[in-house]
Amino acid sequence: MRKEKARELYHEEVSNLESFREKLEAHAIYKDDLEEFSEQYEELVAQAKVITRVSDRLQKKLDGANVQIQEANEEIKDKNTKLEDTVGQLAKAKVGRRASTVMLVVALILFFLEQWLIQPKVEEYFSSPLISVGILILLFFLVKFFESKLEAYFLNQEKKKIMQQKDKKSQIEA
Amino acid sequence: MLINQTMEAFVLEPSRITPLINFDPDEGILELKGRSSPENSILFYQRLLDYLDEFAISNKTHLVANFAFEYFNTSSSKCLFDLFKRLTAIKQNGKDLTINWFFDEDDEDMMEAGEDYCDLLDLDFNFIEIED
Repeated sequence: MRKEKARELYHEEVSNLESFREKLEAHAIYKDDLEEFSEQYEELVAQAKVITRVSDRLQKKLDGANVQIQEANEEIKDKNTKLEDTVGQLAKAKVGRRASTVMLVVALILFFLEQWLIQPKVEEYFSSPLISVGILILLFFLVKFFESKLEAYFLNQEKKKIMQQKDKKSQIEA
Repeated sequence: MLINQTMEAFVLEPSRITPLINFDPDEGILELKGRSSPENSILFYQRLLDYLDEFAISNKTHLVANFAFEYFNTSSSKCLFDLFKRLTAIKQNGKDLTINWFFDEDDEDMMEAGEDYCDLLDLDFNFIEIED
């Protein structure tokens, strides 16, 4: 018949100890019992040696693996930062071009409107040509100011788009 | 006292945390292979230990034990110690015992673990390197 299943890892050693204590309490200790107990103790020390060595090796392995994971994490962080910088630069260049194009169109429209609507009125009321030059300079700075605002707006939009794409990708991967 | 009886083979398929166990008493083969970190190591190994106790007093004449661990945890190392104690008893009962300890060529720790068991239990191990 098969033995009853043991649930305690050191059940044999615990059982030996209990048996020895019972003899001790009953004052029924003989030399043989002491010899047997010392052998069991010797074996337990041998077990402790092996288990400690195995455990030390495991810890060393885990420690090594942790160091490797940390190094890999640092590398990933560095690469992510570089990637974010590159994406940022690309986005900036892209939106910069888009903003310039939009503002060029706006500038042309404003120029033609100025020539068509404002210029005749200026010539009618003022004799100095500097007034219309001043209006053109004012329009130029106005366009420049709105170009930088537009660029900032496009850049924010682009960043939001990139973040949304990133979120979607991570959701799909998850 | 030797018992002349037919012993059944004992096979446990490997999992992510338990090794393959293949014990065929009639062929005289014991194999343990893979990773060993069961939830309850003694519960996992107890059946095999009981089989080896039976084998030790059976009329079987030889046993080849092959160990090829990738990893085993601390409590499994205690159970392996108990297992090697059974193998010592099998040898002391006059049976022909061969122990093969397989390890990956770059896993020096696993080789040293085998050396520890070999030294402390005074058993002969054949150390066999597995090339990647």
